[in-house]
Parts: sequence; structure tokens; C-alpha cells
Amino acid sequence: MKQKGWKAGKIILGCGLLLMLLPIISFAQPYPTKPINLIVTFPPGGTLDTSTRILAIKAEKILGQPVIVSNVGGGAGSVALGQVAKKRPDGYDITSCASTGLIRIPQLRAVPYSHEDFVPIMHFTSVQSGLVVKSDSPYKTLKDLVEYARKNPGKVNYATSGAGSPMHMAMEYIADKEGIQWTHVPYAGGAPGLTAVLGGHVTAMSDSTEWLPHVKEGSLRLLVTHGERRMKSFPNVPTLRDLGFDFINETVFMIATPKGTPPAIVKKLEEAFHKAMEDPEFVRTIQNLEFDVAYRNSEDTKKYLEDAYNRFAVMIKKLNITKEPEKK
Amino acid sequence: MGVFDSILYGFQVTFQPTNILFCAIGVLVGTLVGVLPGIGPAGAMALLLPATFRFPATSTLIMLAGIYYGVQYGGSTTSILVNIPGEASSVITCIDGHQMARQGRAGPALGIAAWGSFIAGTIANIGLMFVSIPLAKAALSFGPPEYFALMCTGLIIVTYLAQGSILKAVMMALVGIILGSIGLDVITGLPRFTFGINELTDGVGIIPLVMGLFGISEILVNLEESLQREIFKARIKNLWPSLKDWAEAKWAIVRGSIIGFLLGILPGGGAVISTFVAYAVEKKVAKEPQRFGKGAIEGVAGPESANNAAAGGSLIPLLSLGIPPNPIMAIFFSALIIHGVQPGPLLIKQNPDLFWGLIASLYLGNALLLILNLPLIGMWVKVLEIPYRILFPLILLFCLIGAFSMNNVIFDLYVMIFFGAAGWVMRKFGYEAAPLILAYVLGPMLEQALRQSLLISQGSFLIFVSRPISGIALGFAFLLLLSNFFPYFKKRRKEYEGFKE
Repeated sequence: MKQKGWKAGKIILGCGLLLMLLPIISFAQPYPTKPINLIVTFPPGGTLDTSTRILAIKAEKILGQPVIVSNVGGGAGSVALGQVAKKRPDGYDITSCASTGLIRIPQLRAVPYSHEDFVPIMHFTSVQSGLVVKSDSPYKTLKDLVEYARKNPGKVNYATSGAGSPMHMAMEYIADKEGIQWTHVPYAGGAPGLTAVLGGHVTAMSDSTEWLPHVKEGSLRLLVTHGERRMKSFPNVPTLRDLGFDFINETVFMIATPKGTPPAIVKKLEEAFHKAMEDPEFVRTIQNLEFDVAYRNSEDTKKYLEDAYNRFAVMIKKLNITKEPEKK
Repeated sequence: MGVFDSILYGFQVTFQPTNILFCAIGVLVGTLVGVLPGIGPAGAMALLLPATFRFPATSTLIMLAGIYYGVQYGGSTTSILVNIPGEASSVITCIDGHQMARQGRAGPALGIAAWGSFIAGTIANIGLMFVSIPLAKAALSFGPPEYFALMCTGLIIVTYLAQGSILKAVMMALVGIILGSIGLDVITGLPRFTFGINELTDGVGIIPLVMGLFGISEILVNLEESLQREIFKARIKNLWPSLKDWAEAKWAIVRGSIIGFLLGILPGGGAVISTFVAYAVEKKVAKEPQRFGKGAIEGVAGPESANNAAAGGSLIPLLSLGIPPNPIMAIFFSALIIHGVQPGPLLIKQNPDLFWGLIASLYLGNALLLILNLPLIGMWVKVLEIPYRILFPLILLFCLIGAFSMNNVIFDLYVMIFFGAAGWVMRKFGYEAAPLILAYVLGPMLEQALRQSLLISQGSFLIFVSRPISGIALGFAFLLLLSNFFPYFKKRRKEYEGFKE
């Protein structure tokens, strides 16, 4: 009887020792050992969601563990980023976001995180945007529109999908540089703005590629694009830089993880997602969206965001973009 | 190709076995999603989207469309049975639909909703075939001033929604406008009335709001009066709409279909607004408007037809212009792009199989939905016999899941519970939730349209009357407002004369 009890005790002791060892054993195994949660910072069905989901399908094959994509919408990505910033930095909770939520939103309104709470893993897409007018309007180039605005102050108005967006900033940057005035008419989203410019209710629209089919079909004319490079579909349309304006829409779609994630895990994720980007299905989807497949690794993305953050800070001041007053 | 050749071609596409299967899956999933409160079509479609990467674009679109109008079918079920709208566009159905159920007429209510949806879906489809391109072009002439005028008319409709005191309805509408103004101000991009809560930057979510005001408060109210339930359970009469029901509802269905189709084309909350407008119109043309709110079948037939027709109508801007008029159409837009189909004015020319196949599938899907839903009515009515102690926890669970699954944010649950309690208090004191919801939807659109118009006009209010569409619409709205006062004056005069005697 006594003997038996002792034996049971030994077994329990043995199990206890094993349990204590378990974390060490699992630590010894290479990351990842369990499914990875990937939070998309916008609601399902949008461009970020669509491109991330395809990327995730490819990345999970490389990582050997499922990548579970879920969406947390709200506040231009800031609700999700606020949540992810508080997660344990162990590489099992990562996020796919637009750089907007990291560099622009925190400078415009109070949010419970800063861009320094995140380590970028890589960015995979750069977003395109541009300025369009109706094709039966007399403006053939950006210069025509600027000259008309110079002669008729207040007559030119333009739609965007949001105050403080890069598309809004681009227009105000031009106005500031040329010393002209035009009226900003913000809309809630690209579709209503598109309707407004097609219906002739506003002179122009400065927005992401919602206008694309209409430019191809001929009802709208693309005057200028805001990207680093010209768009493949419209090689003859200049970028703002081509015209001498030092402005690009710096928005990128990126994967990030909370600050403090071990460098080895960041490296592993960086490699996996970079490899996933080579998949033809992913490339085709991004091209269909008329974005550019663009890659920067963790280190370069960090620098890129830092620069963009500072440039944006200067721009807000210079262009008088309204922002939430800071709390005392 | 004429329209008839084209549609024949469309049927050839649709009647391929895989496409029939996709259509059936779509409408089935849609019905389920519609019946479950809160789990909206947008979420369901987005989740299924990655699964469709391997399939052709036409099949995918047929399935997604099936989900979309399947939801409009299913949404009325919970409104009628347990007074909980499955979607925002079924809010108005609660008013008379649930009263019918309480009188033991759940079967006819569900039946007329299903038939109304079928007829409306077919009418919208015919409209889609013949007039989509000119109508889409006409919708472009709606700029901010026109929207402003339209929203004004919409808000005046609040006075028609009132079952009891008009004053209370107007008060609720004002509360709705205040709730609607929470969140980002579109013009400056800055948050308003968020009290530093990051989750409120996008405003109070409509699903938690609707679920709280209707669902949770319904449960609370019923918990108090559960003893009376035996009475209305015992009175489940016929399952099908009678000839008398049909006679009362037939024009409501036709009117609802036309209203829904036309308003569905406009970007914004077309489907939701159309149900409110259809209800107001039915109440206005009815011989005995006092029947409304007490189980008038037109009050179910009109709005339910309208939301289905609006589902058809909202395909027009997407397919003929490439402009997604609501979040659900935005998912369609993504689906097209993923499959390498460029939505836009050239879609019909470049992808005739897709366009006509989709339209033909709408006929098929509508028929499938009717076949699927009519036998289910008998089953749904039995839901009313489930004891409350089982039914209520289940409803509560579905409400919680529904409110959470929109954004996966806990905060939405607090919002729902808060409005559940508020809704309970409102009912105790005779304040209705429907005007609040309508004003909540219209308020922000009204404000945006007003401010955009004034930006465009450089601050001149003349823009609202100098443009023909907005001028006429505002004039109409003004007359509508005046017409409300006539019965009031008459009453006062009578009272006054009575007083004199």
C-alpha cells in the first residue's frame, strides 16, 4: 500500500518535471509552433483585406502553420492597431495595416498607441492615387487646371475621400506651391466622390484608383498621379514629381508586429512574407487592383516610415491641416 | 444582340449545373444569414470570398448575389416572429409584422413577405434588364443639393412612422440625429462626441444599435409579461395569406417594388430608406391609417418588397457604372477585381456572359428562394412555441454574436447592452425606436450633403432652390410637412367649437 503510494508520487513528480520542461522544449522548437493571428485593420472586402488574405494563404504554406486572418475595423485602422499594440510580442499576433494608421492618424487625432509601438516586418504594396477631371472639361493638363484656378479663385472644387488624406494633401500642396486657392469637398468614401465628379458636381477628384475604369473608358481624364513611379496602365500620365512638385503618396500596405518581438522571429516572418509575394496569384491580384507590388524589408520599412512621419509632420504645419487639439 | 437574345444567352450561362449549384448555395447561405440576427451579408460574403478564388467570376458573382438577396428574404423572419430585425432594412417590418404574429397571423405575415419579395425581385430584375443604363446616368445628376432635398423629405417621413404621439416621434428623431453625429466629421476628418473612446471614431454601429433597441429590449419587455404568452400562442391560425390579405397587399407590393428599385440605385442607405418610405406611403394611401402599428398587412408587404427591389436596384450603379453604392456592393467590386474583371461602364460589353448570366441567375435565385422559404414558414411559426426560457437565451446569444462579429470589437457589445436598456425604458414610456433609427441613418447624410453643397456654392443657400431636382424635392417636402398640420387644425377647430358651445 505504502509502496504503491510512493510509486504514484514518483509518477506525479515525473509528470511535474516534464511539465516544467515543456516550455523549454517548445522554445527549443523553431517558431512558429502554433497558428499565427493576423489582424487586418480594415473591414472585410476592401483592398487591404483582399490583398492580405491572398498573401496569408501563401505565407502559411511557407511558415508551416496556419495564418488566421481576422478583421478589426474602425477609425481608419486605429482601433485594430490600438489592440495589437497591447498584445504579447511573441510573433503570434501580427497585423496587416496601411501605413496611414501608423504615421498619419496619430498625428491628426488622439490614439492609444504610437508608430514606435510597432516593428514593421515588411511592406508589400504601394497604393496609387491621382487627380481626374471629366473628359469633356477643357483641362487637358494639371497646368490648365491650375491656370484656371488662378484666374477664377474659388471656382475650382475637388472631391476626396477624406480630410487629411494624402490625396487631400497633394491638392493643398499644389495650391500652396502655385499660390492658388481651390475648394476641398470631402466625401465619405471613393464611390460618392466618383459619382460627384462624373455628375459634374465638382470639378475634379483626387483619390485612389476608383476612377480607373472611367479613365480607361474615356469619361474621365487622368491629369497626374501621386505615386513614386508612373502607372503601368498610363505611361503617358506624369507623376507629381515629374511636374516638379516634391510630393508622393507614401501609403503602403504592410505587416507589423508589436514592439519587442525577438529579431529572429521578425526575420523569419520577413522571409516568409517576402517569399509569399512572389506567388503569381498574389502579383496578379495586386495588379488587378492597379497597385504596385513593392517590397521593403523590416529595416528599410522602418526607415521609410520614420521619414514619412517627419515629412508629414512638416506638411501638417505648412498646409494648415486641421488636427485634434492636444489634451492637457 | 437584343435584350431577349441576351437574356436567353444569360439563361444558358445560368443553367450550367455548376452555376445552378452556386446559386442554390448562395440563396441558402443568404437565407440563414438573414434569419440569424446581426450576422450581416457583408460579413458572410467577405468570408466566403477567398473560397471563390478558384472558381470562374460568373459563378462567384451568382453566389454572392444569391447571398445578398437571400438575406433580404430571411431578414424579415425574426422581425415578424420575435420583433428583432435581422438587418437594418427589416426594422420597419417589426412594427406591423410582429403585431400580426401576436394576433396569431405570423404565417400570413411571413407568406406575404416571401411573395412580396419574390414579386419585387422579379420587377427589379426586369428593370435591371431594360432601363439600367439610362437610370444609372440619371442617378449621376444627384449631387449634394439633391441629396439634401431627398434627406429632408426622408426626415419628414418620421412623422408618418409615429404610432402614438408625433411629438415623441420627433423627439426620438432628434436623439437619432445626435447619435448619428458621433464619430468622424467627414468635412474636417476630426472626431466629434467620442469622449476619447477610440472605438467611437466610426460612430455608433448600426447593428449594435438596432439589436439593442429592438432585440434586447424585446427580451426585457417579454420577461415581464411572460404569463400572457399562452394567449397569443394559442391563436396561431392559418399559415398562408388569405384572399383578403392578398387584396389588401397587392398594391402595396407593387408600390414597394417601384420605390425600392428607384431608391436602391442611389448611393447611400438606399435599401434602408426605401423601407421607411414604402411604409410611410402605405400609411398615407391607406383608407384607415389607424390600422398601422396594429398588424396591417400592407405595413409588411410594402417595406419587404421595397428592400428586395432595392437589392436589385443597387446592382445598377455597380454593373453599369462601376460605382459600388453600398458596402455590400463594394465586396462585389472586390470580387470582380480579384477575378480580373474590371467593373465599369465597359463591363456589359466586355463580359456579356457575366452580366446576362448574373441577371438570369436573379430569376432563378428568386424562384429558388420562394421554393425554399414557403415550406419553411410552417417551421418558423413553430419557433413561437419554443418556451421562453429556451428561446430568450438563444436570441440573446445570437444578438451578442451578431453585434460582435461586425468589427470583432467588445465595445460594440457594450453599445448593444446600453441601447437594450435604453430601449426598454423607451418602451415603458411609449417612445418608438423606428424614428430614431431612420434619423440615425439620414442625419449624417443630411449633414454631409448640406455642408458639401455649401462648400460648392461658396456659402450660398440659393443652390438648393436654383437646381430643378432639389428645388422640386424641397417644395414637395415642404408640402408634405404642411399636410401634417391639416388634421391638427381641424381637430383644434372642432375642440374650439366644442368649447364655445
